[in-house]
Amino acid sequence: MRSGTSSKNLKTSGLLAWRIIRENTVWMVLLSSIFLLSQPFLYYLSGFAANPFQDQEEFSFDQIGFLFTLQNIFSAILLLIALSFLLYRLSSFFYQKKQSDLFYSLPVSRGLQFSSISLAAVVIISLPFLLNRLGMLMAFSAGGARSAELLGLWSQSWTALFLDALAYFFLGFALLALVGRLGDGLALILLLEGGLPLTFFLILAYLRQSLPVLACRGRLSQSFLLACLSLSPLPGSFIPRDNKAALALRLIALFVFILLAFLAFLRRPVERAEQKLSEHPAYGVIEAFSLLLFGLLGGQFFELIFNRQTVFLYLLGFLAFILPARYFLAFFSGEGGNPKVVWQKGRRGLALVLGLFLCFALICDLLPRRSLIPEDFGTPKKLVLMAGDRADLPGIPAFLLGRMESFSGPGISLTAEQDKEVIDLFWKWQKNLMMNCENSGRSGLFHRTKLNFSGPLFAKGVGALVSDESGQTIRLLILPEELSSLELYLRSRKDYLPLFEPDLALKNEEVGALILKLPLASIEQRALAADLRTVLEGQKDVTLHVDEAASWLELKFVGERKDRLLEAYRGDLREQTFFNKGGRETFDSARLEPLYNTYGREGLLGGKLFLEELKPQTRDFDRFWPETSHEEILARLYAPEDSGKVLSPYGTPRVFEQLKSWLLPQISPKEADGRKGN
Amino acid sequence: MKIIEAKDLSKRFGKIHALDKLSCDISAASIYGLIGSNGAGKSTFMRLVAGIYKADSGSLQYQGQEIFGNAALRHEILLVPDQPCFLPGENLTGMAHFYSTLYDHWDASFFNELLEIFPLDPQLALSKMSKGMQRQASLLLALAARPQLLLMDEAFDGLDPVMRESLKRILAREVVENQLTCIIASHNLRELEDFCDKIGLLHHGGLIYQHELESMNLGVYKIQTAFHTLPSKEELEALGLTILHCERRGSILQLVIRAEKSEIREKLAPLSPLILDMLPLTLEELFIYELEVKGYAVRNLI
Repeated sequence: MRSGTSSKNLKTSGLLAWRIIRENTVWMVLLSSIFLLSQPFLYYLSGFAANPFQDQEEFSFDQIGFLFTLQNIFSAILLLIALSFLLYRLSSFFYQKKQSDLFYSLPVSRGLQFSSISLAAVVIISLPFLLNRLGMLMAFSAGGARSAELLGLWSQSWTALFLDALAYFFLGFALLALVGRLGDGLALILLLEGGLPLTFFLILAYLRQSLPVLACRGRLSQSFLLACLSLSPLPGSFIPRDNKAALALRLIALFVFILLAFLAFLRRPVERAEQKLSEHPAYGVIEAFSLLLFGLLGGQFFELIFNRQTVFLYLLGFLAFILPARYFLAFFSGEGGNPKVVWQKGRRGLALVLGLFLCFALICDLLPRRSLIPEDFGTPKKLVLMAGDRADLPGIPAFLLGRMESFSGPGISLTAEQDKEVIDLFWKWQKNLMMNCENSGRSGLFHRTKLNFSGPLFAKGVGALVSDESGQTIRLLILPEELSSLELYLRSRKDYLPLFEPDLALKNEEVGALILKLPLASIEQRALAADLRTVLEGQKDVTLHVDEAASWLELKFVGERKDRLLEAYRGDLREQTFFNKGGRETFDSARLEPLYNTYGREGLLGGKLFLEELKPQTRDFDRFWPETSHEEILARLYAPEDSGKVLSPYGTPRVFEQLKSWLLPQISPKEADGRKGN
Repeated sequence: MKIIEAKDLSKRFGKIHALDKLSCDISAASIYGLIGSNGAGKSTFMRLVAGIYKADSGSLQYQGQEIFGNAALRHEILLVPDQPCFLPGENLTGMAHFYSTLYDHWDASFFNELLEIFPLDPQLALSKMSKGMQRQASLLLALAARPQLLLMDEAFDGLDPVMRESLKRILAREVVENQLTCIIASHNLRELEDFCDKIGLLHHGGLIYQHELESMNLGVYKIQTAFHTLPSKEELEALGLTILHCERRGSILQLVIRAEKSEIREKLAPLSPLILDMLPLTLEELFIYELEVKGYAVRNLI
């Protein structure tokens, strides 16, 4: 009997869900189409179609990052609109007086009604997602992507995005059910979902900073802010953070929201169903707030697609979004779709929102720019780039911080002060390390700061800088799951090393030791460790320490060996740097000539490489180095004061192979050859 | 047998008392007419009985079971709201299929039979139908679901006279043959007058009058009388009569009195009336005079 009832309930629930899905088929197809069509559009925007990179084995990380961010932002905006609309569609059965009579008088319990709506919502949200992702993979395959990492990179964020979308839906659903009235519910959703990102946005705009993680200096408030942002549907939260902790957080949040929505729906007061949203007393507030959010999204979107940050562009995006948004709102709130009436009724609201925006813009421009970098910060002596491990994360704070986890290296526990120091280091060095804020997906409104590092790594939560106890070494920890994208980045840019110089305050510092620290995650890496052990046996100035338990290998070079290595390393550095930084269309042999006279043939090795492979690789040269001529850059790279920097690569399978081929001959060419011969 | 028993039922919407300690009972296999002023609480009562709203206080039972939160009871109770509502974009066939999967007692043959009575195109989208046709469709679906208790809010609104008559006959047949109970809320008192078994008069959320329709007129009479010297209302009330309405038209005094015929004659006899005509009240007159006592008079509204 009981099983009969439950199977009937299941059938009823399925039937209701199917009905709801059927009623929204048109919208679902529309949404899917928009999602699908957005891909070629973004593809085009990225300049991918006419790019010489097509001949290359892989795309540049910049390009991917840009496209990726665009796609995320675009998806996020579409999702935000679509989900709000879906929420309205699926909830209006219960919130419009006329329809609530029908639905609440059906012989279906509220629990079943809830499960039907939830099922329908999940299906409706999933389908465009799946189509979108499939379309994306197909587009990339057709575009010549051969790298598994590339496809992986593209599909990286979909899980988080999907969970975000569901969480947003159920949170909205819970709020609606809690307050009972559509108007109140929407107002609450807007306040909660939009208020935080909006406030955050204003803070960012005020500080003119790009990275949200750095907008708030207090550790607690930072954690709180990020945790909140993780749940927010606005673009910031759609930056791919598919590490397990972030996904777990999302899943937990989603289940909490589902439970909350379920409980609230069971107790929802039907009596509060209303005729029209536009008759709600708070409709004016809802209207203004919605328009403001739409406007800000529009501004940010324009800023992104045109890859420029100007107030005019922002204003254009603002206007481009609020006008359709006004009609959209009028249509769904029951005001009617007559453009004349909508315009007449909405004039004041639009003027108010626009006025608010302009006032804010003006205030922001008048206020002095705030320096967020502490003045009394010490100078670190070494920089070690190495791979990190999840086990290094000290639990909850990093889990909450998500993006910029500050955590210790292997065997080192940071004290609270050191932890703070790491944050401060980040502040100090962000100017050098954080560049290309546009790609982070959360650029500030009037951000014009020149930053010298193309920072998708950081924006994407790839790693974090940590210092050791002495504060003399800075380590960049890379989370293993991010290594492939980092590798892709490094491979495509090849200028990763110069990124840490020449502004990196290491000038004239003599380095005591060069440390290479590598993970031993794979058999190949362990084999290399064995090779190294044999090669280095009995050699001077070099020590090898292999920590099998912690799966780490550490090479320490001192004395002559260190100098030799550094010299070779710098040569390699120069070559790569020259190739990349000089890789400009405008950089020709005539301009190289005086440099040749100054620095000799060897110094121009990279230039030769450049001349042979002249390609307009990086569109953003002027953005990266706006005030520096190419000659100056070269001069700086070859300047004697550069000696003394210690920089080392790190290991992942591919880079490791590169490193191996470079490192072994440098350490002991003869022995290495001899081994080969044997 | 009582199918609905309401006791001290109260429902508020903010500061408005939609229902204020309403008590009533409705017999099975009968037609109950619910009349009342605008905003008296008729629709609220209907929605409470349909299990849509939850009462703030008091109890409301269907055959001894609390209604609210009991989804199973909604197979037995069906509401036809004042504004018909269907699934968006659906036609009658689609709605019938929807109902057939939800309602345990769905009667497809009865649905087809009703389709012959109500001339509706089952393939036409319901949203494209006229108000009257939508009303018909709504009633048709409700009847085919074979409920035990049918709640109809403004049931005859928008129906043409032929359809009204057809509906009345169908309802009467269902009451007799299938023990259907109907609660009909309407402002069209003439429609209810010759159709309902019992009438309940709601005002300001309270039931001020509930009577079998057959016996109703025995209790209240419209009297036209003349005297040598016209007595005032107070003098008449001093005789122990409950005067619902008192109006002087020349030398004729028109009274509406709640009392038995014999009692009225007996009490007016000392005043030696020259004329004494006693006429039964129509439902509409009853409505007007009863509410006049409560301060809801026609003249007050003009």
